[in-house]
Amino acid sequence: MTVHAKGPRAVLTVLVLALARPAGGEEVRTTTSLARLGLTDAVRREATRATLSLPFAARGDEVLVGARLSLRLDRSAAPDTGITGLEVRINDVPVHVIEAERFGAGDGRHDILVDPTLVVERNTLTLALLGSAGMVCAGDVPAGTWRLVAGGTLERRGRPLPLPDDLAILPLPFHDPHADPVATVPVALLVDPGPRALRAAGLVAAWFAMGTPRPARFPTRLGSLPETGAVVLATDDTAAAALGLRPTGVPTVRMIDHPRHPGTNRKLLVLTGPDPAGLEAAARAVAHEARPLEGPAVTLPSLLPPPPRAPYDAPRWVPAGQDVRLGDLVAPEGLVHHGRTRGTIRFTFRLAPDLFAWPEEFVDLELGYRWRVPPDVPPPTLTVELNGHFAAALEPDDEPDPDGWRTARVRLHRTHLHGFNDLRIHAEYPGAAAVCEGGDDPDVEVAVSPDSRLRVGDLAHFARLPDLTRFVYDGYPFTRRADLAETALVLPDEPRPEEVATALSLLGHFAAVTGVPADHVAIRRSGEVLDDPGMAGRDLLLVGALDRHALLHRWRDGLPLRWRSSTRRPEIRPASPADIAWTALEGRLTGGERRRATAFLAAVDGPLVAVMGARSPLAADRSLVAVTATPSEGMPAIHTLQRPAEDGPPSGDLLLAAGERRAFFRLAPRYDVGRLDAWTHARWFLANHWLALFPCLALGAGGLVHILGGGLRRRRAARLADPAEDPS
Amino acid sequence: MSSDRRLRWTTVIGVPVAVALLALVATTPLSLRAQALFGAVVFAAALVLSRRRGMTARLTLVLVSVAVSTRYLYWRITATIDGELAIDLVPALLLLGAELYTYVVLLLGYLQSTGPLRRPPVPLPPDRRQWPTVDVFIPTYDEPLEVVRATVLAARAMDWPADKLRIHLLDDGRREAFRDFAARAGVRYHTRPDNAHAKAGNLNAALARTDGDLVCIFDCDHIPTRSFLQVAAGGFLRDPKLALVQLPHHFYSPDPFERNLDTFRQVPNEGELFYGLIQPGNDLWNAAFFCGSCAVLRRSALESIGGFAVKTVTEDAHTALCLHRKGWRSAYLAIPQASGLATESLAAHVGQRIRWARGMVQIFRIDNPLLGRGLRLGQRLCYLAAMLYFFYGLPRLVFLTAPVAYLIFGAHIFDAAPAMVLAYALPHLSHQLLTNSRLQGRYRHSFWAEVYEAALAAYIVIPTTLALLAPRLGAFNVTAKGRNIERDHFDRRIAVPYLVLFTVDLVAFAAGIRLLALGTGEADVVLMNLAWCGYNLVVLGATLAVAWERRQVRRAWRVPLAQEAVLRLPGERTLAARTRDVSMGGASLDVSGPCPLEPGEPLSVGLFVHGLERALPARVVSNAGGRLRLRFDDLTPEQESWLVQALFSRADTWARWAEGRDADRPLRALGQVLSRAVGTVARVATLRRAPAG
Repeated sequence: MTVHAKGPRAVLTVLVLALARPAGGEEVRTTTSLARLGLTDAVRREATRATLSLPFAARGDEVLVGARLSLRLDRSAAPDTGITGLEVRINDVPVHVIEAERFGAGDGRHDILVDPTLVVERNTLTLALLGSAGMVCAGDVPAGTWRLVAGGTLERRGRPLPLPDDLAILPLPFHDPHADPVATVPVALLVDPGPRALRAAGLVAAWFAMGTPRPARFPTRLGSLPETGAVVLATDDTAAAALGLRPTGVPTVRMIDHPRHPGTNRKLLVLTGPDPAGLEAAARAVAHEARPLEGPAVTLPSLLPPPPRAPYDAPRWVPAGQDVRLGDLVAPEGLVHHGRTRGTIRFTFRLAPDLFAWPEEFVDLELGYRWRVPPDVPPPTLTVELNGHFAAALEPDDEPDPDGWRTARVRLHRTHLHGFNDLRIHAEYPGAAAVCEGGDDPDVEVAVSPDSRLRVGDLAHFARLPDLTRFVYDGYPFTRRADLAETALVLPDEPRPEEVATALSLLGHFAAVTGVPADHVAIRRSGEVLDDPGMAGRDLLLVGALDRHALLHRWRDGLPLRWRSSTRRPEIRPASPADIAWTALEGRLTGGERRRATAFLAAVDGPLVAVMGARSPLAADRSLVAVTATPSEGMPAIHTLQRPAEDGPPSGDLLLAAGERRAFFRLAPRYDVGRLDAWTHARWFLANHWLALFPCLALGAGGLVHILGGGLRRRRAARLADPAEDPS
Repeated sequence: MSSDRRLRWTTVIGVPVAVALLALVATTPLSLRAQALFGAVVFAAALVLSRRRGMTARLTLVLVSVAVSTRYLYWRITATIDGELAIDLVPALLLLGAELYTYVVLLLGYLQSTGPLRRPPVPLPPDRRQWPTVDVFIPTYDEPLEVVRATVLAARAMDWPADKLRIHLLDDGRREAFRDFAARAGVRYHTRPDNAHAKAGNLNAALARTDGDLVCIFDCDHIPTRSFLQVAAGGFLRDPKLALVQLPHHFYSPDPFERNLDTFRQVPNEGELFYGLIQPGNDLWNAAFFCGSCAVLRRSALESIGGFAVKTVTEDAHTALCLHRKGWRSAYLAIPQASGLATESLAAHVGQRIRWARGMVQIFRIDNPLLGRGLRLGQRLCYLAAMLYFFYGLPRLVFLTAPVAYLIFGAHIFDAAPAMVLAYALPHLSHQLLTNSRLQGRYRHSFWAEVYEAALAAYIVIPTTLALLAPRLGAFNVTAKGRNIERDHFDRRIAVPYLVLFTVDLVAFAAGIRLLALGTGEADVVLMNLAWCGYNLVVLGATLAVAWERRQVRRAWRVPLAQEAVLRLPGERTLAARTRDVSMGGASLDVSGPCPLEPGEPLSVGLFVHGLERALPARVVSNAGGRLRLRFDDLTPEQESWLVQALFSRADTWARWAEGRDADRPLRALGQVLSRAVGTVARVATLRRAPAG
């Protein structure tokens, strides 16, 4: 990822100096929520520092000309701790103080305009609570105090800078991870959206998504250019026709001005090839970074797709069959916290989403740790947290080894372990031993052993589906093969731009999860699936509007939501007798869920997004996931679904989203994928279909009664019979 | 042949499949809701099934109970003790160990009691010349003569050819009075120079001086009926490998539990389970064992093992084990043909049980039934059950104090949510209760075992542990002397452990209430522990009641006896009467019609044996409402013998002992235990204030 590593900023500094003219074009306003900047719910709940610093940056292709902070304060949500005011600073310059008595003024809404001269490229917004006394540290407030800030936004006003025709500025002009909460990469397909062109678009989407920690969306045009900058996919012919570009006859990538907006930051990244296959080759070369992207144009090699990858070997996942060694996740200095301040040692890692810890309830973390403190300092308390769930407080009662190391077996509950994991070890010094500032004392340290291990190496791969949470966050089951070698993406026969945009957001998201672009995804129109025998060997990802996708219509009796043409509305499919029987065996009655889903549908006033999961109609061991919406304009980017759901099950076979609402429903019977040994599998089946335990008990006990009862009777007869016949 | 083969195949295939299905049931983890529903439905089905009669229903209940309890323990082991950071390991493992112990004892108990053998006596051949010769041994050491007399007289009166029956009084006390009595009664009298090996040595010494085909043994206070030998001896003629026929020990006086808890003849006593169910169950597996008295043994079998075993303090069970190892067979006849006096006081009772426990543990150590040659699996397991049972001391103490760990010390001994614990443990406990109530109902009422064991637990822990560590350690006798209990009193000495346990649980209970009131601690955990603690208090309260010794002047216990009698008054007047109960000292009778008798008035009572009347001199003690109470005047030996025969010798004297007793109903049984507990707690509270009673 050489281009990204170099980053746009160095290039841009040069540019700004070189061009140094206030950009053409009108002012652009970008609004970011404070939560996006770092004032998350967790921080509001838990932070105990009296000052919070929230960094914000200008985009690489704009000059900030001002900012406006909107705060929403709710005094009643926070404990009363004698706070006298809230000070706002930009880059350490106080710009405003809200006195405590004015917190509630104007419904709690406060707008603060920031002087343009204060903002530069990279900035720090500091919120400081004034007047907290009596805490151990002068700068501390009780946890929960930050609930005072119920919400807010920061609006950046920037003037765009013109950008050069240089590929090195990528991912600008589309995305600056420092400034943009979401990467928005418009895509224009100037070719027929056939499989090759779509795969090419998917590869480019994957490349963008892999290069940023932010979610990505790909608003799509078919056959025309948007007014914004865009990634343009074209053949030599169409590029020549639409953009006047000289055909090169080989896969090529170019950075050019938008023909209607020359000299601005609205640039076009144009990928071309002599034909759709050449275009795909160009996209593949970009996605695999086969050439450094520098200068206005780069000619690309005709890269063949790499061989299909084995299951579970995604580069961003801890390899299958291995324990997670914490030392492999961070640099050595990341394993240590120095000084007597509060500190957190943090590990993030991705696991295969279907690691199956059952019937064990817990996964063991063998945590090696130590602390070194001067004799007069009491030891710190250490707590372990996984994905926001408290796991353990380390309370050693044994002597450490000569180097001070101790080992604890921390049990992490299996349901707290996800595809993406955030493991934190918090250290805190009690009472007077804690210091608040400048605690970077090298004599005081808490360290985690690099050889600490999370014991997941022996776990089987097995999952109970549909589980749309795993799909929405981890792309499971499609990401099982990182290059989507067992995935078929099925679009409607005449895909619309919104549908293609959703498909690209999915392919981008999968690549961000795995670290590999979708080299081997099969892309089909709905009419091509049934005649293709290869489709039985793939998991099906159906993308398209509910009323337009022929397969959604054809398979409507196997899916939880269907389109009713007579009313022109979606409806929840009634349960079939087989559904009722199987869910009953699981110990569930789905009537309540159906009513809840129907009520959700009835309350929808506007576009409805639905994600459905089911067994593939083409193969019993394969899955189907449909990402759909009605009307088609509502087709979502996948990141818009990655938000907490309403009350109800935490996952399910139907995800409905409309407006701000999002809810899971579990309607149909479930099915399993993966392999277990026969004994565990039998127990798993019974655990999930517990009514079947009754016949098991009846047959087992009845059989034994029959056999043992006969034996007892024979034995009794023998004991009472004449001794010649007594067997004993 | 083909049916044999089919049977074999059914077994070879059917048993593993059935066991696998049950193993699935036992090991499949469920969510709280599923587990609660599953447990409730299975228990409801078992309740319905428990109303059906017959082996199939019984066996099904047993297997379901085993499956449910196995399920509980599997969950307990795999899901509740894993977290080293979540539980306090030592108390947690103690509790788990106690639970594992009770599980094993439960399984063995089911094995013993599912198919009890109801053996009818084997008839003797009509030709009396074929009947074997019998030596009757009555060993005695320090018992008073008045106790031994009745036994000797009754033994002498047994129906057996006189030339084939020899009664031997084996007096290790070497007392002149006994020698005189033996001479007068016409029985042989033996002493030996030392008392080596106690009772076993005494018997062995007599064995060397006698030569009858069979040896019949009565403890000196076990009075046989006249039919004893005819009932017991038949099997020896039919089966040449039969070495032992054991009959039950029956007691016509209340044991301290029955007397002090006021349950005599209402609630089955401690021994009834053993003689009513366990021994018949053992018999199915050819593992009924010798209980020291009321048994007939084959001399040649005894000689093949070198006489009675002398290495342990329970020579009886060990002798039977040796016989079984040599391939001899045993039989058990659940027909009471002898009767004796129960232990008089709780202290004596405790002492006796300590001896049994020590002896069984000694056998477990020096001649473990699981090891060594000659036993079949069923026999090994039955003997194992008999021995393991006596290890209950420590587990029982653990159960009685476990809630203290959390309520007082805040220690977590279960790593699971209380609701989950309930969902798993309630089926485990209630199936056990239901199944045992069904199997044992006639011989043991629910919850009473808890009281019996709680009373002894603290006392047998140390002896059994010592015996386990050093099985050959010399006997230290804790035998409490039998004595009359002249007045009601609370035996504080024997009750110390109960008071300690009761106090500890009471403090824990109060601590739990405080936790609830303060709102600290997890309310559900507190409630669960409180319930457990409360149950312990009930059991311990009832146990305290046992230590409340009721007045008993043990001259002679009355035997319920309803038979015709004639009252002969001075002046040739006679009155027809019917006896209600009779003892060696007196009688109580119902007189129909006018009965103008004053207290102190002399008369004679005519009692019938075999239709023959013999008149015994007596005096009126009281006469009210048609109920006449008499005291016998001094009886001649002949009159005494007659009285013994009238009282104890009828073959059916004890056959209907348990009639009129209600069957077990667990909830009522719990109520009975509870009522004893409540009564006692109130009395102990008053005792604290009053001077020692």
